[in-house]
Amino acid sequence: MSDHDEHATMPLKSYYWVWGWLFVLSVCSYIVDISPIPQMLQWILITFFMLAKAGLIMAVFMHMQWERLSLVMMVLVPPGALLFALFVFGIEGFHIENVRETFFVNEFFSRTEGR
Amino acid sequence: MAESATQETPPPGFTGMISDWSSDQTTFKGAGWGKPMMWLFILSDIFIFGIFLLGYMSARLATPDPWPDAAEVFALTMFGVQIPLLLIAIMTFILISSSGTMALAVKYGYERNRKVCGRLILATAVLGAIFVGMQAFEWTILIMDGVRPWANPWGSAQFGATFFLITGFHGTHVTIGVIALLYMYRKVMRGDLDDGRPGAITGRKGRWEMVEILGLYWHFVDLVWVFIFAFFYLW
Repeated sequence: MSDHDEHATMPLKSYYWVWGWLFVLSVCSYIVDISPIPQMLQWILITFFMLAKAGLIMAVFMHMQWERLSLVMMVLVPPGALLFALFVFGIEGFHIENVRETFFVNEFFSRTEGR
Repeated sequence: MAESATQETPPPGFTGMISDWSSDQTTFKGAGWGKPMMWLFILSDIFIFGIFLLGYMSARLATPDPWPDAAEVFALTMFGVQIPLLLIAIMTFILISSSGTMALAVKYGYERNRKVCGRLILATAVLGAIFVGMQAFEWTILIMDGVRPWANPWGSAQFGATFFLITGFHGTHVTIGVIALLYMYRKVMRGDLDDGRPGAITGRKGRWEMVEILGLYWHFVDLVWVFIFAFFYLW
């Protein structure tokens, strides 16, 4: 447990600091959501605030900044596969939506019009 | 324990990572076994929540029907004014606060401050229970509004399925966490971690590291909520 001693010396103030920033970032993302700015900008800002919050929680609250790089990499590298899945499912999702628009939605409308 | 075999301090940084993984010994130097195991569990849980959120993205992208606007669906009317996402915002602040109290509990755990650590764990459990209660309230409102896993009054039918799956799975995690926190509260207050008293379930001796490991789980639950809050409620 000798490597834990350095955590204990982290001043109380920095916990409150992180806690405060988590509040501020949450409020920011809420304000962005209800304010009338372009949707794309909203999405970018919300994602940015989300990643900032996740980083703060993992680095300080989960003590990752004091862990050895081997442990950090074990946790952070494998989820990169999810980014690939995000890419592939993204393409697929748009494609299926297109197919449905072309073959289902139009067909449905032409059928209801004919009735 | 294997740690005794590696007395000298391993090198830091990238070189250290290479030597850790190629050392033909324990990879996670100085971390015991409990903490890396919890991290591995968290890693597997990241993938579970990750594929849930990816499934949600696929369903939302692929449907030609409009996706219900979360800001309106989750709005609450207070004093005659409709406030978007009010309940969700309060839930977010409660869960962040519980993460804060848990972080402090871990800090006081390192300082072997039994009383303060125990009280902070209890505070975390209470905040977690409030969160689950509010989630049950939210589910009740939506179910009374007519949201079902297969249909809802506002648009794309997939909304209900993804909503109940993702928030339900997260709520289950919070509930399990609250139970574990209450159990840990009793252990801490009784002095089990100081005395190394065997636990009732696994018979493992009480160690102060247990508080940190439970803390990792609790922070992870908060971490997942950060992503759900952004992707499900705000996007």
